[in-house]
Amino acid sequence: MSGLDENLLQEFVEESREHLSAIEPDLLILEQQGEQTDAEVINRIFRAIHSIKGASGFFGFEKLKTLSHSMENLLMLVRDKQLSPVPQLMDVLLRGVDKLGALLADIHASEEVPIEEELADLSALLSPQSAKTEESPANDTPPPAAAPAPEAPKSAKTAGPYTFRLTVDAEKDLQAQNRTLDELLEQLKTIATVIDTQNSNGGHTIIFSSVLEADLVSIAVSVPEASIVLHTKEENTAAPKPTEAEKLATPPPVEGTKTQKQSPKATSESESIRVRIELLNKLMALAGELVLSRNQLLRTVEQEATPELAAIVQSIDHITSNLQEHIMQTRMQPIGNIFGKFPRIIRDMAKQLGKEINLVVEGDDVELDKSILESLTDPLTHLIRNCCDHGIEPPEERKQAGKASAGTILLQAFHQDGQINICITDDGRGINTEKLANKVLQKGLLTEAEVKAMSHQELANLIFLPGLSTAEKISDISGRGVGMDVVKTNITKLGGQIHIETAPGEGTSLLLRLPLTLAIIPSLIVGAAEQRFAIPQANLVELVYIPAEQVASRIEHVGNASVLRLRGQLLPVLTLSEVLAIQPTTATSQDVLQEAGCSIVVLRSGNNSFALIVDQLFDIEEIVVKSLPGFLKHCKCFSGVTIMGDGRAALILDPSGIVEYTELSFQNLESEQKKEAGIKHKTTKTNTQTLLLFNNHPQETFAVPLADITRLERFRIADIHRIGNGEFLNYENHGLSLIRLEDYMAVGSFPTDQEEAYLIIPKLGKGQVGLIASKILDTVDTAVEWEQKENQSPSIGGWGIIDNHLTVKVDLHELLHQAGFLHQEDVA
Amino acid sequence: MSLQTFATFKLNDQLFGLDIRFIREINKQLDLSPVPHAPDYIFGLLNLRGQIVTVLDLKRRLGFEKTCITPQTHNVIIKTDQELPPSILQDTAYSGLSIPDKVGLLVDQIGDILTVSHDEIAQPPANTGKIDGQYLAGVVPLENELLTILSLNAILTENP
Repeated sequence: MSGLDENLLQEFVEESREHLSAIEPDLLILEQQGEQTDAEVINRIFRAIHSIKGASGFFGFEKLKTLSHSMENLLMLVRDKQLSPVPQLMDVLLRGVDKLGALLADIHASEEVPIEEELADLSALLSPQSAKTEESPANDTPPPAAAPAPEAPKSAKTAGPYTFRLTVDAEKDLQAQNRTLDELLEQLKTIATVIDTQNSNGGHTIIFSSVLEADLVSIAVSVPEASIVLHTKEENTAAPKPTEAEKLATPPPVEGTKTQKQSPKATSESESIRVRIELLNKLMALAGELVLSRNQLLRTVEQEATPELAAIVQSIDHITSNLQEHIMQTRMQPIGNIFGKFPRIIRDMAKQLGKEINLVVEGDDVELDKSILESLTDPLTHLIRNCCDHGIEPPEERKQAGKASAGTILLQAFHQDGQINICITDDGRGINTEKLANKVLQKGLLTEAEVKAMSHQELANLIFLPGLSTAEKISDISGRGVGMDVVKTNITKLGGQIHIETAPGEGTSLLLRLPLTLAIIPSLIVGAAEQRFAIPQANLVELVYIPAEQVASRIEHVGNASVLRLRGQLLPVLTLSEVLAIQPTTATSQDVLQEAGCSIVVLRSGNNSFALIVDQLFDIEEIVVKSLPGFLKHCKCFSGVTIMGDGRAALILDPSGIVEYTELSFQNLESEQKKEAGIKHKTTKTNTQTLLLFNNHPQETFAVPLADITRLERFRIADIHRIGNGEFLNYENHGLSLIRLEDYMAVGSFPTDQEEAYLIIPKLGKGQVGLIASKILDTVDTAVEWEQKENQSPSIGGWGIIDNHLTVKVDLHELLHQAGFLHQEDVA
Repeated sequence: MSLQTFATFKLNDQLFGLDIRFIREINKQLDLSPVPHAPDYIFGLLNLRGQIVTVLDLKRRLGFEKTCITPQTHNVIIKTDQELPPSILQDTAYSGLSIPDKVGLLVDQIGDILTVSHDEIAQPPANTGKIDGQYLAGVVPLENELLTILSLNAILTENP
C-alpha cells in the first residue's frame, strides 16, 4: 500500500465517487418499480458497488470493502429475486451508499468510521438467506478455488468483470522474488478470485478474475504486466460454464460507466479526460488577461489603423472572444449535477413527513460556471427542503382542498437575457401572508403601519427578512435558524436575484436569476473626478440624465439628504466623488450640477435602490474581476479590481458596500414617501399649499385652501332671497344657503354698493351652502406659517402675510359648524 | 562567512536596502490609479502585465512626507509568496512573513547592489530620526554613509 502512488489512490476515490452518484438514481428507480425493474438497472448498481469493493480491497480499506461487500450480497439476492426491493430494504441500501460516500470523503480516516449499524441492518436482511449464498461480512476474503463449496466459482466470477490468465515463470517470478506459488496465490487472493491453476512446462498458469485491471494486478503481486492477459471464455475450459445469474453479474464491460475500461488495450477511444481544476483556473486567468490585452489593442488601433492592421486586429478580436468563450465552457457544468441530488432528498423528506411528493425536472442540461454551481448547492437544497416541509400539504389536506394527493415540485432551469433562471414551483398551500405579517410584527421587525401599507407581493417578500421562521414548530427538516434570508444573501453574493410569487392554496414559485459566470462580467464604466470605476451590470437598474434646468426640481432635499424623484418613487441620492472624497474642493456639487446637468446611475443594493451621481458615463466593458489586494480590504466601497481598455487599473464599485459606508438609510425615505402618499391634507398645515385669496370687505384679504372648494360662481346681489334670518340663492334648482363672513367673525362687511358678488362653494357643505366674496383675488402656492391671536373668532384659522398683505385664513370646518351646516361628528 | 546582497535605494537623501532575493523587478511604471478610502501610504494600483500591483508610498509608510514623483522615482516590485523560493520563507529572519499580493514600493532613487557579510550588519538603533524602529532590520556602516536595512515584515504588515 505504502508503495502505491497517491495519484492512483486519488483516481480510485474519484471513480468510486462517480460510481456512488450513478447508483443513487438507479436505486430510486429500483424502489419505484420494485420487481418490475429492468435487470440492467440492478446490474448497474451491482457493478458499481462491486467495483468499489474490489478496488477498496486492493488498497486495503477494510471498512469500505466490508460494507460494499455486504451491500453486494444483498443486491445479489435482489437480482436473483430472492428478496424484493421493499422500501425498508431500499432504505438500508441508500444508507449504505451514504456511508460509502462518507468513507470515501476522507479515505485515509475511513478505518476510524463506524459502520456497524449499517452492517447490522444489512445482515438482518441477509440472515434468512445466509445459508444459501451469504458469506459472512467479517470473513469476506473470497474462498479459494480449491474450496469444495459449489458456489465458490460463482463468487469467483462475480469478483470482477475481467478474467485474466497469469503465466507465472517459476524462475523469475517465484525464485527470484523468494516466494512459492502458494504465497503468490495468497497475494493474488487478496485482490482477485482465483478460478483455476494449471501447471505448464517451466511454470504455472493461474486463471483469476478481478475488478482491477491488469496493470494494477501486476503491481499488487509483483509480476510483469505482460504476463497477465485478458482471458477469453473459449480458453477458459477449466472454469465451469456460467449460469444465467452469472451472465447478469458479469455483463460485457462495454456497458459500464465511461471510466471503466474494457481492457487495458481498449482505452484509446475515451471521449473525455480528467483535467485538474487548477489548470483550468490558470487557463481562465490567462484568457482573462488576453481579453484585457485585446481591449487595449482595440483601443490603440482605433486611433491610427491602416486597413491591413485593422483586419488583423479584427481577426484577433474574433479569435480572442471565441477562445475565451470556449475556455469558459470548460468550467461549465450542467446544473443536473445539483438537480440530481434532489430526488433522493425529496424521497427521504416525503417519507419522513408522510407526504407524497413528485419532482419534475426540466432543463438539467443547462450549464453554469463551476464556482457558481458549487455555491448554489446549499441555497437550492434549502429551497427544495422548504417546498417539501412548508409548501406541500399532507395528502389528506390536499384531498380536502380538491387537489391530487401527491404534490408536485417543478424544478426548471433555462437561459434568459444572458442569465440563468432557476424556477422552483410547488403546488402546495402557498405562503400565508397574514401569518407571515403577524410573525414580523411579533418579532418587532416592522411596525404595524408599515405592514398595513404593504401589498400582497411585498408581504410575501417579508419571508426574506433576517430572523424570521414561519414554521410553527422547529422541525428537523427546515427552520434550523438558517432561513430564507441566508438563501437570499448567498444568491446576492453570486450577483443573482431571487423573486417570490405565491397564491394562497395554489402554491409558491421562486425565481432565481444568476449570471453565467463570475470571472468576466459586463460592467458600466463611470468617471468621478478624473478617475474611473466599474459598476457590474447586475447591480445597475437604470441610467438617468437630468438636464441642467431640471436639476433643482428633480433633486429635492429632505432634511440633510438629497432625494431623486423617479416615476413617483423617492430614491436617496449620493454623489460618487463625495462618497469617495475625491472631489476637488473648489465648487460645491449643487452649483456644478445646475450648470451642466447630471448623469445618474440607479443602483440596486438588496431590496433597495439608490441614485449615484457620477461625473461621466463611459461604455459598458467586459471586465475581468480580480480580488481586492489585502491592503485595501477595509475599503468597503469596492468589491474588486480590474484592468481597463486603456491599461489602467480600476476599482469595481460595490453598491451594498457604498450603502454600508455612507450609512444610507432607506427607512426614513420610505416613511417620507408614505406620509406623502397617505394623509395629504394633514400635512398641508406645514407644507406648501394652494390658497384661494379673496376679499369680503375690499381692504381685507381672506384665504381658503383651494383643495377644499368645489366651485366658484358669480351672482347678482339682487337674486338673493331672504327667508327669516337666512339668505338663499336659487342654485341649480335648489335653495343654497349663503354665509357672510362678517356674521361669524369680527371683520369688515360686504360693500353695500356692489351689485355683483362671488360665491365660494366649499366641499364640506355638500352643495348646500356658499360663502359670499366681493372679489376673487388670486390663487397662490405658498407655505405660510399661520399665527394665532388671542380672542380671535373661532372660525379664523390664523393670520399670515401673503404678498405683503395681512391675510386671514378661514377655518371652513369651524365656520360651517357655527353656521349650523355641520354636526359635531362631521367636524371631528 | 555568509554574505547577503541588498538592493539599495534612496529615500530623500538617506540610503536604504532590501534583501535582493525579495525583489522581482525595478521599473519606472508609475501610471497609477489612486484608491479612495485607502490608508495614505497606499499610492495606487498598477497594471503590471495584467497583474494588479498595490504600490506603497514607502516614504509615507516609514513616516516621512508623501512622495513627489520625479524623473528618478522608481517602483520596486516585491516577489509574492508564490514567486519566492520556499527556502527564504523558512529563514527564521523572515518567519511569519506572508506576501499574498503583488506589492510595489516607491523609492526616490535607485542605488547600487551591495553584498555585505553578516558580521558587518549591526543591530539597528531604536529609531533613526523619524523612522519607527520596527521598520528597521539592521544598519551597515559604509565608507561615507550608513546603509539602513529595512524590515519587509513590518512594511508589508498592515497596521491595526
